[in-house]
Amino acid sequence: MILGLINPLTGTDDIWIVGDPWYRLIIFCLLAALLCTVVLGAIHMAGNQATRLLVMGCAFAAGLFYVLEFFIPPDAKSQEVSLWGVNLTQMSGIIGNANQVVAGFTFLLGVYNLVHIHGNNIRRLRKGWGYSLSFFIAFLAMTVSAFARDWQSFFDPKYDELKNTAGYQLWMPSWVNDVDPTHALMPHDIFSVLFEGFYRNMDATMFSILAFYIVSAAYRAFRIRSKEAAVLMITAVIMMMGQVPLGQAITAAIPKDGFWHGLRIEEISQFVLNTINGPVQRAIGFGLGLGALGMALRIWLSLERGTYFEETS
Amino acid sequence: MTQASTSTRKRGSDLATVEALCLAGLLVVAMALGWFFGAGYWRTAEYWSKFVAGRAIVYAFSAMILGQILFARRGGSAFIRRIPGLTAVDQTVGRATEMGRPITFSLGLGNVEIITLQALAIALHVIRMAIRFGTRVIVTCADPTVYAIADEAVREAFTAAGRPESHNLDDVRFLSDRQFAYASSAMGLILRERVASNYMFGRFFAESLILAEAGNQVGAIQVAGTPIITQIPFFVASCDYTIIGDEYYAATAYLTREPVLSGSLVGQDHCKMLILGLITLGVIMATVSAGLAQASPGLENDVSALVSSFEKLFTEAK
Repeated sequence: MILGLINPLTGTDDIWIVGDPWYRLIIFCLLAALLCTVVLGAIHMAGNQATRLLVMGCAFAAGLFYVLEFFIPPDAKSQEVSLWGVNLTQMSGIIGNANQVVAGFTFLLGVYNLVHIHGNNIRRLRKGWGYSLSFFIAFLAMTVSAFARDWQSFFDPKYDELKNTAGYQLWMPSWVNDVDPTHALMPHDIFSVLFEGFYRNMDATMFSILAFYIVSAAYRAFRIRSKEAAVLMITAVIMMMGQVPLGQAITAAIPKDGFWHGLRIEEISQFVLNTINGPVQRAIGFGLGLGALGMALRIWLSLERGTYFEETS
Repeated sequence: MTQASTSTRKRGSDLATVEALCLAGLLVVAMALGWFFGAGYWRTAEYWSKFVAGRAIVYAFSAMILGQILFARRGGSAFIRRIPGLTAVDQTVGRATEMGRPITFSLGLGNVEIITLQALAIALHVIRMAIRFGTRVIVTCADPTVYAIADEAVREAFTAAGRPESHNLDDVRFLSDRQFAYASSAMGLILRERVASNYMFGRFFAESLILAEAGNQVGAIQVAGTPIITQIPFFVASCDYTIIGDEYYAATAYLTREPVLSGSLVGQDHCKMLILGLITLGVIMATVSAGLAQASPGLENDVSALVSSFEKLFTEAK
């Protein structure tokens, strides 16, 4: 029973399925809220040393959950990990959702930051304040049009089922919420115009700028100013020549199945790719994996003190 | 160093050692409990063939890294070779101070994860140095959670330096959580502020070159580092200094010379040596196996079985 309350996904019933006892979910939410309040209250009220220990304990407990989930042998059939009746694999999903909730709260902080910075730009008429004004206009236009379009679906449970039925009363005009099935690909409402017409195209424009930047960056990189730059240049030429028909034509005279076939440009480029580049990338991957493991251990065991916040003890 | 401070330091070191050992012991106890009270899968042969190798390697690597951290905390020394990109931190901050222009530090598109936390650690080192010279550092984030953490950490850095009044709320900015909206916003910031130095550390994708080229247009010194291998060539082509591969995770150890970080770095190197040894052993075994296949078919089966179990070990570890 207690385990069922702690983790509503364990036991015979799934709490998220309709018809399951609702009280377990309510008690689960209340317990979670109580625990959060107690931990946050303790962190704010305790002294420096006690706060440090509390934060260390929370970090260790949170990390330990995933360590146990990784190290404990799973069930042979379901491949899910359980400990004393608590299904850790399913519980990791709940913890993931909790992370999403925290991220949702911090999103408000992000919006506050944007409003603060751009509001100040307009208030003090700083250079480029027009851009800040355009931010507010875009922000409000997207927010209002998106909410107005979806407003009915939030409150009317039959909306999805009946929205295309004749006689069904839509709350918004078609230029705000276009449900015409013939416009399914591109609804004729203001949100779609803003999102599909403006945002997506501006996004694509930024991406397409890359093509020009690649040329200018490549020009600078290929200027032979050192031994390393020379190696980079030669390798790049071999790789490019190996990929295009014009380059391949240079060594086309060498027979494909002859003794010297390894000197064909496409063979050399494949050799560079598979025998030199491949192992180097794997070696970098090993180093990065170990670096991430080391840092994860340091953060989990609270050994990385003073890096983010100064030592106060 | 006075006798009292030496004694305090030794006591702190001993306490930290006991603390770390207790934490590591807790892990072992927790694992043992899980093994004995968890599902009975571990008693089957399938579990040993399918799961043990990968987990054993992770556990061994963790033990090696933790061991070296403890050794370093007890006073063991570690040599870290010169990393040019990180040596340039002084130069970039100095240049920005002389020119009277700000520094921008992009934390990439990552959310709260190891890569972004490492980027934030490097950012804080640059910011602490810039505070001493009174130079502005503008930190840009693409994730609101990262913004919240970065904002608090930067505020703490100013307070710790004794200059809380110098902290400008506008200097840690959440730009957008959309890739190219973030890129265009960061690019505009770099161009408008005409920054003297531009740092890019964290998780980057196609926007890496957009940011680097913007920095190049205003003539900024650029230092970049990312563990995303596909973006490294773009940084190499357009930045003055690029942190490649595991240098990214060695950055904080190099900059701070903290015993814990240096010890962790040495532990990682020992793990790499172990991997190198295992690869060499695998190459020898595969070669011998191939040779025996021609010389003696009977013997070859035994060696092949050994080689395949060795290959499995690596597949699992990945």
